[in-house]
Amino acid sequence: MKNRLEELRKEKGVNQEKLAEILEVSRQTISSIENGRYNPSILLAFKIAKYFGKKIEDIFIYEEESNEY
Amino acid sequence: MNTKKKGYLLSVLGIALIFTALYFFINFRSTENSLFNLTYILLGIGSGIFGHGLGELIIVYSKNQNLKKSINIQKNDERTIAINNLSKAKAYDAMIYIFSALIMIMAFMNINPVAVIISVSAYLFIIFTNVFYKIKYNKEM
Repeated sequence: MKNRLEELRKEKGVNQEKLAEILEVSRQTISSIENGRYNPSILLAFKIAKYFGKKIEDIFIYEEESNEY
Repeated sequence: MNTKKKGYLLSVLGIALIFTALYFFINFRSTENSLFNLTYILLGIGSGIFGHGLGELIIVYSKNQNLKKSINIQKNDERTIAINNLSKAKAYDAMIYIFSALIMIMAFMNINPVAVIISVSAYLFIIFTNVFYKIKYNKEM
């Protein structure tokens, strides 16, 4: 799943540390989400969406996986 | 139970275990009493529990609000929790194989059957605990 977290965060002018503090998660969590290494829980996704004043689907982009057997 | 109560309880329990260990060490050192074997185990467990309890109390009474907040965030961070759970699950998978190999080795070593039975019981208990929680969470989720 891709996301626009880094882009939106930079647009808003907050650093990872500050965003982590606001969302009550660790800085590593923010960094991992931005790098696409970690997909947040639905609760955290809602928190992020609420903070940026956007819908979840505007931030997190679902990509259908191609199942090749 | 809140963190403060837990901290006090664990600290007191830890100290009690350390003193029990000292009592055993002083009184049973020169005798053949089997309780003497418990001394070092009690000392180890007591120190561990006391350290954990004291840690909780230091966090509770810490005047540094930022430190308190960052410890709480680190503790409740969903990624940290997910990593911990995943590591535990991997360790469980490894344990199942290691434990069964160990029991096989014990059985072939012709050691006391009681020891083998205790190990098998512990192994089965772990497996049943897994099944129990699977059923429980299946109903809850």
